[in-house]
Amino acid sequence: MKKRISLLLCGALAFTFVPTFNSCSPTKNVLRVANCAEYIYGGDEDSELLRDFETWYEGKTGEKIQVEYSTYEDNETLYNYLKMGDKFDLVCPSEYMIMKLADEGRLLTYPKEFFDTANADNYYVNNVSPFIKETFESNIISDRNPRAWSAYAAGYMWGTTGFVFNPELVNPDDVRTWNVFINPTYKNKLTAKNNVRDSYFVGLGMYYEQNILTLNAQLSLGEIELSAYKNELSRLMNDTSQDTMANVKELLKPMKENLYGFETDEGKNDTIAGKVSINYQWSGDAVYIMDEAEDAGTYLHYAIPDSVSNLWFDGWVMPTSCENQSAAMAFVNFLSMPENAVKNMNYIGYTSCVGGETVFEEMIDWYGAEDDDETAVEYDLSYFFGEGSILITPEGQLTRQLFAQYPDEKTITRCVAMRYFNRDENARANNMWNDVTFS
Amino acid sequence: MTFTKPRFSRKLLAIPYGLFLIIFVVLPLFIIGYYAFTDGYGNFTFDNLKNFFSGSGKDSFFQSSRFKTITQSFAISVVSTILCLLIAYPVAYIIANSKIKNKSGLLLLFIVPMWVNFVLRVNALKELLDWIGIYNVSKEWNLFNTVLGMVYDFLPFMILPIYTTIIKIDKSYLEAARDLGANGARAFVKVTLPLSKAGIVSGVSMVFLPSMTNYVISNYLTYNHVKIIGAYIDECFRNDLWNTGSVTALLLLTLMFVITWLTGGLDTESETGKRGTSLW
Repeated sequence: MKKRISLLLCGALAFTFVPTFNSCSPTKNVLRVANCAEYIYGGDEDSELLRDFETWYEGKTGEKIQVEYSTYEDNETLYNYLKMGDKFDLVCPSEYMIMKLADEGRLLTYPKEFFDTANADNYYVNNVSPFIKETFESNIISDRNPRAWSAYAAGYMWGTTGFVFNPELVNPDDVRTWNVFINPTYKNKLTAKNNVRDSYFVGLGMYYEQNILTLNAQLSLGEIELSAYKNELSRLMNDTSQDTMANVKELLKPMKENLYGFETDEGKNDTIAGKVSINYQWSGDAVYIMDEAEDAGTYLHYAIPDSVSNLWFDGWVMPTSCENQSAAMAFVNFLSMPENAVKNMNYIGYTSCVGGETVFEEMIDWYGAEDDDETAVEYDLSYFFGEGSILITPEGQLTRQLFAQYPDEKTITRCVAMRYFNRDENARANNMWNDVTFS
Repeated sequence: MTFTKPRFSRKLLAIPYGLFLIIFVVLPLFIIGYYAFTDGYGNFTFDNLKNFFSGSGKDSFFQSSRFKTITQSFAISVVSTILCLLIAYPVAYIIANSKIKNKSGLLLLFIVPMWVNFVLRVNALKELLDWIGIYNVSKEWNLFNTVLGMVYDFLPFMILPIYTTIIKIDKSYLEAARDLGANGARAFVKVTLPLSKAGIVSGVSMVFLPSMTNYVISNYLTYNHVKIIGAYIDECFRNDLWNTGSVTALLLLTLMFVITWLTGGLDTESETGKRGTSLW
């Protein structure tokens, strides 16, 4: 018997060691793209969009190209890949990781011709939403490298973080504050994210909630300039000083006791199944959850706290290992064609950085109210799609998918990006996180 | 004229494994060592080690969550290993001594679960626990589920080496013991147990080491509530703290080494007289 088992094992091993020969010859034009898993239309490396791109690119340039598409789990995994010397032409990290990578000199800048609006093939610059354009141009990488995000990154998807909740089980007023995380009414019914950054943001939200509510009031009374408001908001929500971190830790500990748990992906299904009634979630996954729950007959809502929330962006960047810049830029432009942007949005649930009429019309198709709908309300999305983009939509959408995909301008104003942690902050944050999560 | 015929030496057979060992065991160890004793810029330093043993704030190392994470992992691992041994030994003993002809078929029943991917098994177990109603309901149940998961997953690794040592025991030893007046229990304690020690040691190290670090089990079965040291190391590497992660991994390795040494796992003169009686 033992012999038979070892024979079997040998057989199994032999199979795993059969090398898989790649059919590609060295002369072939290749574009190595790495993206988050499940983050493109049609499911990763089998996506039709990739084949469409290959055809489109050959038609444009007469050159054959092959997209080698790989996926990674999260920004941190991608960072380790790049640090260990894996070679890619184009990758898609989030804004904080873009800042970290650019600060460490691991990214190439986009050349001038990428921004040439006169070239009709430059779909990205010609279609990107003014809101995204403004954000990418006004935020800098770091003190050491004061270039704008836009020098390195072309926006792909963006969104907020907030609460997906069941209005039948949760009082909507309760999710207007970060303190819902320590609200005993929802003990074991809440989830937060199982990573130090998202949870630290939550902790800061609880810690600075009163300060920020005061700040918000000052803004609405006109006592403070918008830019000064933005700076102060960003300063508070990026506070990583030793004292603040220690205080936030003391808030996160009782939060942990109140939670059903910290999750990364499980929360989606648990929320759809009703095991969790408040799920702290990224907006795109929130859309997915609401869609799925709707199919099962439950209407879940999405809410962003009154004080502040997280605003995030994922963008295409070219690592220094990029060997095919023109194809990389062509790929970004191809994905920025409105019809492709819509395809992606429809498939993955996240919101594309592409604005413009075509996408807006598609949104009317998705979210527009029927003519006889008495609850129809006007929803102003001018900040994203340009002047006069007003969507007539059923009132219910203002707390559901539409709001999750495109929050109104007032909500966006109180959302803020969280920059990357430097070495010391990172070590401190990791210790803090272990103190919170160890037991 | 002398002509040395190229001879196939048995030693040549060791080359594939030797290469494997160097590339996948020795080399990674050196890399871990490198990161454990350098800072982020490649300069030699003991800071990572010092930082590991220094407390945070006013807490000493022994009050720090790092220490508590290690002790918790250790406790989970000890309990899981003991339970595995308590379950596995009788099973292995019974199979090895059963009158059934097809012993290997019986043994197969315990090996078959190993053919199913372990993440799948853990997931299935999670669903089962949820159905029973003890999944993520309290701290105590979470600890229980973690141990259960470890035992469930690593049990075959304990059964197999013990079974292979017991089946190889020369029955004449037992007969001699009985002839000299030992009853069944005494013969077992004086003969079977010592002669199966190699299997036990091998099984214990197969279960103890992974159950201290296999955080997939604890994460899946407790909704990330029970954190073991493997999860901490993973977080270090995930959050660009390779040096901290490496020093932790290295310390863990040292701890394991000491434990294995203390339990005699490195003893080449085991009582069966030959090492390698165990399957693993």
